[in-house]
Amino acid sequence: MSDGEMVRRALAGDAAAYGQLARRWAARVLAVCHARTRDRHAAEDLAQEALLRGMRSLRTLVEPEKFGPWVIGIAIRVCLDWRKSPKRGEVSFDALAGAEDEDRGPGFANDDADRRAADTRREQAERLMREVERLPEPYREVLMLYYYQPDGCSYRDLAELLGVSVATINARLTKARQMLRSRMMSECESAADERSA
Amino acid sequence: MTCEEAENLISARIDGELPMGDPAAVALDAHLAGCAACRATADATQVQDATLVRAFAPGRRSAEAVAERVARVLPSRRRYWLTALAASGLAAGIVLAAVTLGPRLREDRPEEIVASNPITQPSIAELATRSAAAPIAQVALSTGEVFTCPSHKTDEWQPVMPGAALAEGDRVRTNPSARVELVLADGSQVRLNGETEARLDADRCVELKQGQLWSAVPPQCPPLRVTAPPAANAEGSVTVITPPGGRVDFRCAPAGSVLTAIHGPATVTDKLGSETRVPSGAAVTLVNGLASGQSAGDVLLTTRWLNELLMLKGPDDPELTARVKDLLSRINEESTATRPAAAPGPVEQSMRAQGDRWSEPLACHIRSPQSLVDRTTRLTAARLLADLAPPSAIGDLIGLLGDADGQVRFHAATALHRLTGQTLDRSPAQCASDPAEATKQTQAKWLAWWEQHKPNAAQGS
Repeated sequence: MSDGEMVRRALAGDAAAYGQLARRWAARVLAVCHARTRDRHAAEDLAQEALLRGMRSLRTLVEPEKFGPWVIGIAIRVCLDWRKSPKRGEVSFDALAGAEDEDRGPGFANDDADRRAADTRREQAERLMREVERLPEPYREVLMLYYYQPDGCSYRDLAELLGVSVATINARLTKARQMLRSRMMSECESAADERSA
Repeated sequence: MTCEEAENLISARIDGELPMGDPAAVALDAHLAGCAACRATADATQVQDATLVRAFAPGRRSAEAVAERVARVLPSRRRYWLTALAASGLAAGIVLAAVTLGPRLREDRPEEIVASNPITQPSIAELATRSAAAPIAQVALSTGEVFTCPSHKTDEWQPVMPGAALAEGDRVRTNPSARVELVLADGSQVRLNGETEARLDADRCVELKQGQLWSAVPPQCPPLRVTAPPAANAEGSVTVITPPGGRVDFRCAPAGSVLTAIHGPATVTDKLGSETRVPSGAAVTLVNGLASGQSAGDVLLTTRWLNELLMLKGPDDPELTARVKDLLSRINEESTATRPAAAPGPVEQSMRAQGDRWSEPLACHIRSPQSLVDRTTRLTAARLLADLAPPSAIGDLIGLLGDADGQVRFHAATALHRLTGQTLDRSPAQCASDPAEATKQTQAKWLAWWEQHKPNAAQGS
């Protein structure tokens, strides 16, 4: 079912259609919020706020087929409001401090060796995410939009959402990966230098 | 095929965007067969993709949780059934239902977004019921409070959010600190400054009741007409035409109105019907509805109120990046003029007055490859950033400690010292003159320091 059809059904009184729209777009809205704030935990609150604002204002949407770009626009606005807020730093820093525990999951290994390996993987993932957050915005945004979506986003969908060509999406993803590899490598080299010093 | 092209195709293949048998896929395979570097890149990208998928797993779980939380508080079918009834015009039924069921719905499901939720924008259905009231514009962006009053109401102002549709005859009003951008169906833009009121009329006409308006018309589109009263309670009107491809700023004030042609010639017709052509960059003042003279306009200062709207579009918005470049060039011109060097010129003062909002656009400018062609402008950006950057820019500043230009590193280190009280044993002057290896080490030390102190910074803020 297309977004436009879901919007029309929601407006006609189909409550389930609201939930479907939220589930379909939550990952991309969260990706945009994360890319704009560089703070995953603040981004969750902002994504929820953006989706709720979108649902509340659904009746004002002129072109139901463009629900996606429209709700992404709302998310950008919500993030900008957050960036102007004097309290944003508190959310950001607290969130970073508490990030790791939540990600362990219920199946976290008990065995020491497994735990060490899992710790290493988690640290790598956190380091990688920090580097993702430091990418310049166009690259950060496209990379996050791509990887937040459970099965990835097609280049065409991303191009439509960001208003650029498919070739630009391809180039930005390539460049983002290239920058990440280079940064991760230089970080490893710096760490090695420090150890040997 | 170049290695750069191959790398794009490697990404596309990993992302499932390069079908087997596609000529590009065949060409890529041929290139990989003969290029060890690209084979290594392909392997590394494959591994990296798997790592990224893992790294984003918690984020994907969060997205699911967000969706479920939103789904839990969405409107119930029953309320929309009532809404549908209301829309169908069964007035007696509506009143009865609202009186008897409305309060019960709230009690039953307190977590819902209840009827008091601010759905204040006119719906498409509502617009359709008005006479000849098809949507003609949409609120694209806004800062602060913006209100609309539909054409069929005399004084019933309701707040609007971006995305709201506006119909012919609707009025839009901004609070003193608010700015709003409206987009017309053909892509023309109308931006309103604070304390402005305008009415959207048919045939691409905007009636400016008071305040300041900026308009832009895409090439190939018909001109946009803005009318305004010549003076308070005076008869007749002044008309400003924004041509295709043109941009115009028009400020309407009791003491006199000013039209500035930002780009392309604009035309103004005074209250007696006399037409004046205003070339790009010029301004004309109208007193009591009569043109009283033309002068060179100060485009950047006249339109500085647009800055806040452009910042909403993100630091890498093309219009904002172009404006940052213009502003920095202007600051350089001001600093080479005859005034005392210690006193910043009006453009720099204006940017400083807006404070840390400029931090991201300035950092974005310094990082952009285009900035490398004009070192003076780049250093001006770094100098301003050193003074304006807030704590949230510490990550960006640490990034700039690795810049190839020693002066940029100097300003980044100065800003870090201002924000943190630390130098980590390398003063700004040392950062400026350090060789590449030492620069890397300083940057790594700052990264480590920041990782350690981020949480403390939060508690202290």
